[in-house]
Amino acid sequence: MSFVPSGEYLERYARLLVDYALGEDGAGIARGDVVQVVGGESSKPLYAEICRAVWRSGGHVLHRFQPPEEPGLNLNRDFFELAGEAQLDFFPEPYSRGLLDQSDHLVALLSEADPHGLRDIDPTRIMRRRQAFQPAIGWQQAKEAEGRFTWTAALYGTEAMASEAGLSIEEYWEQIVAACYLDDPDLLDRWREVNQQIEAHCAALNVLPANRLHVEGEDADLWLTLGGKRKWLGGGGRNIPSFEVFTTPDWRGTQGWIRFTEPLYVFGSLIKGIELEFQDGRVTASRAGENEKLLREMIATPGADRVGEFSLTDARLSRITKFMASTLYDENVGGRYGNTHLALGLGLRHAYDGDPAALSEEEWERLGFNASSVHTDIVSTSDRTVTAVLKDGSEQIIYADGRFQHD
Amino acid sequence: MGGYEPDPELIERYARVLVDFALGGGEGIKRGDVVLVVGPENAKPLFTAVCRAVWRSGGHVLRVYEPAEDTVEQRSRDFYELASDEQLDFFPERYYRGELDQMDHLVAITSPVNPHGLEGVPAEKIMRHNQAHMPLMDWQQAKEGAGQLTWTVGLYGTEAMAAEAGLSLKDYWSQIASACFLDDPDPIARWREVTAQIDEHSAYLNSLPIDRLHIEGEDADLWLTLGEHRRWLGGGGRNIPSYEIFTSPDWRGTEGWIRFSEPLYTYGSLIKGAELQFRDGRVVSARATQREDLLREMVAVENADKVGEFSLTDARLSRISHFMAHTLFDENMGGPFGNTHIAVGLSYRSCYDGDETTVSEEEWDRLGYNRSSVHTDIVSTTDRTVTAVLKDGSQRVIYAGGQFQHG
Repeated sequence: MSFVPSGEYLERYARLLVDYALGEDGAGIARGDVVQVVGGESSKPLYAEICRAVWRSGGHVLHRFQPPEEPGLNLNRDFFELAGEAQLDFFPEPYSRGLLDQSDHLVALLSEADPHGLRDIDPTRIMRRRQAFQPAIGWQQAKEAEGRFTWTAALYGTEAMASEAGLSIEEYWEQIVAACYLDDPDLLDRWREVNQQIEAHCAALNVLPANRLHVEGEDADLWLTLGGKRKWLGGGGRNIPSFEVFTTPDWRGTQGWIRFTEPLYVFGSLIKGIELEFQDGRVTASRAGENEKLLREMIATPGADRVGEFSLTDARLSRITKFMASTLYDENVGGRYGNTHLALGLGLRHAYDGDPAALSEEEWERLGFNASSVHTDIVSTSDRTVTAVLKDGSEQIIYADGRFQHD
Repeated sequence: MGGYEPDPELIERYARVLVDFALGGGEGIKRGDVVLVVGPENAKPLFTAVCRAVWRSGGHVLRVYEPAEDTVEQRSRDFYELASDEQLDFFPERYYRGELDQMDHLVAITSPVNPHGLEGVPAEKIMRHNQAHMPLMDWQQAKEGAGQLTWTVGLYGTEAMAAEAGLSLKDYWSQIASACFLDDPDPIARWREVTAQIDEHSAYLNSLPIDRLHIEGEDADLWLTLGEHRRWLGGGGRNIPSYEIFTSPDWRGTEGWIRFSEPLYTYGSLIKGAELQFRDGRVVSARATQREDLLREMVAVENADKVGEFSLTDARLSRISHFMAHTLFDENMGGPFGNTHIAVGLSYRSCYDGDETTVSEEEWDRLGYNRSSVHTDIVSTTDRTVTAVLKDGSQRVIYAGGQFQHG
C-alpha cells in the first residue's frame, strides 16, 4: 500500500460524511437508518472508517465494496470485453428495487486506481450499459424527492489520481484535507458555516426575478434561459466538498458558444479543449483539442446534447486551489476566478421550486427539465461575467471576477 | 502477504468448475442465468475469475465483494464491538429478498484471512446476529427446494489458513489443486467421474430399508435413527470439493456418545477434543479439551443440541490428505480412514425423499427435520464401523476401514 492519510483525518472524514452530509440539512443519520456504503478497494481505509461511523451512530451498513479496477486486474474492463448485447442490457430489477427500498442513505467513495482502464473500450458499449441502469436512477431520484433518501459523494485520493492531476500523493491529499476541513477538529461546525454562506448566496439569487442569463468572457458568449419554477441551490451535504451554487435551466433556451479550460474524463479517456455551440437549446457543433470523437459520441447519447445544469463557485468560499482530475473537486474549484460550469444531460429535479414528488413526467418536460442517462460537468476557471436579465428587461451582474456580486 | 501466488491457470480452472459444473447440479449455468458471486477481497483472483467465467457462459453477475475483515460469514470485530442489540438484530429483509428473487445461482468463495479475528468477542453476540439472519437461510432452502436456486462453495487459501493447518501456503494450495482436480486440464470431466461414483454409493444406500445406524469405534458408540422420507445425497456440485455422502437423520433418535478427532473453528476460536453425549435426541453433555465453554454456548443456541446431518466420506474417493483448518475441506477429508462426521443444528431439507415444496412446516417437524441458525460440522478421521439396522431387524455393515461396504 502507498500513502494512507492519518487515522485522525480519516475518522473526521467519516464523521463528516455520516453525521453531517447524510440526512437533511447537516443532520447526519438517525439511529436505525440503513446506509449503503459504496467504495472500491483502493478507498478501504476510509471505507472501514465510514462503517464504524455508521455503527457508532446506531445505523446499519449495507456493504457495497467494489472489486478492483487496477491495471492488469480490472473487472469492469473484463465485463466490457466479454459481454454480449443481452449482458450489456441486463438490469437486475428485483435486486435494485430491494437495495433501494432497504436504504435510507448512500455514501459513495470515488477512488480510481486505474483512471484510464476503459480507454480502448467502445464508448457506445459503456453508454448502453449505463442506459440499462436508468430505471434505478429514476427510482432513486423519486425516493430522494419524497424526502426518504439522501446521499453524499466523497473522494479518496490514490497515486494514480494524483499523477493524473500532476501532483504528488501528499499534495493531492493536502487539497482534500483543506477542502474538507479535515485539519480542523470542529469540521462539522466549519461545514455549517460554509453552508450558511452558500444559502445566503442562493437566497440572494432566488429573490431575483431572472429570466435569462448571459455568460461572457474571453472563452464564452452564451445565453441560458432559467425557466419557470426554478431555484438556485447548493451545499446541504450532497457531495463533500461542495462550494458551488447551481440550478437547472430550461434546456430549450440555450444559445451561443462556450469553451472550457479544464479537461474532462469520460469513460477512462481525457478530453481536452472542449468547445460547444448551441442553437435552440441543442449542441450544434462540438470541438475538442484531444479526443473530439469521444466528445461527439457522448453528446450523441439521448438527451446529452442539452444543458442539465449551470453552476457558479465563489473563489472566496472554495478551498480547492488545484486541478484534481476529478469532477467532484474540479466542479468546485476556487483559485483566482472560482469556476463556472455547465453540465450536459440530466437536469437536476431538486432545482424545481416546489415539491418535485408532485410533478408528472409531462410537467417535467413542459418545464424544460432535461432527461438523460448522462450528466457531464464541463468546467472553466477563466474570468467570466454572468449577467441576469430580469423579467422587466433590466440587467444585473450576478457574478464577476470569480465572486457573487450581490453584497 | 507471502510470496506464493497460485498459478492463474489453476484459478481459471477452479472458476470454470464452479460455474460450468458445480452450479446447475453438475450442468453448469445457462445463458441468461443470474449468478450471485460472494467473496472477500483476499480471494480477488478467484472472485474475478468466477465473474469472467459467468460472463463467458452468457450469464449475469450480481456481486457481493466483501472487505476481508467484514464478510457475511464473519462480521468484523469492529461491528461486534460497536453494535447495540438493535444493530445485532437487524436483518435487511427487503435487500435480501430482492437479491434472492433476482438470482438463479450462488457462488460463495470462502477465504478466512484471520481465523482468530473474533477471539474475545462474546459468542452470544455472534449467535444473536446469526439468529437474526435465519429468514435468509429459510428462503434459500425454500427456493432451492423448488428447483429455482443452486449454489456452490469454493475455497481460496490464505497464509493464515495454511498456518492454522501447519502447511506452507504452497502446500496448502497443492491440497486445493489436487482435491479440486485443478492439476488436470479437464477438471470438469474428472468431477463428472467422481459424481458418478458418489451416485453409485448413494444409490446403494438408498436401496437399503434402513431404520437405525450404529457408529462404533474407539471414540464413538452412537445410535442414529434415519427417519421416514430420507435419502442419502452427495456430489451434485454443492461445495467444491465434495466427496461426502450424507443425510439428515430424524434428530429425535440420537443416543450415545461420540468424540471428534478434528478441531473445530467456531466464532473465530478453536475448539479441540470435542465430545458429545446424546439422550433422546438431545445433547446432554458437551466436553472439550479446549474452549469447552464455547462448545457449550454453541450447543445452547436454539436447536443446536440436535443432529442435523450425518456424513460418510470414502477414503478411495477423497483426494484430501491433510487437515486444512476449514470445514469445506475437513468434512471431505480422505486419508487412511476417510472421515465420518455429524453436524449439530440445521437439517438439510434436500434430504427429503420426494418433492420438498409440498411439505408443510408441521410435516417437517413431524418427520424430525431440525431447524436452527446453527449448522456445525464436527469431524473424525478415526477408524469407525457404521452398521445399518434394517427395517426387518437384520444388520448390515455399510462403512468400515474408511470405505463403503456394498453388500
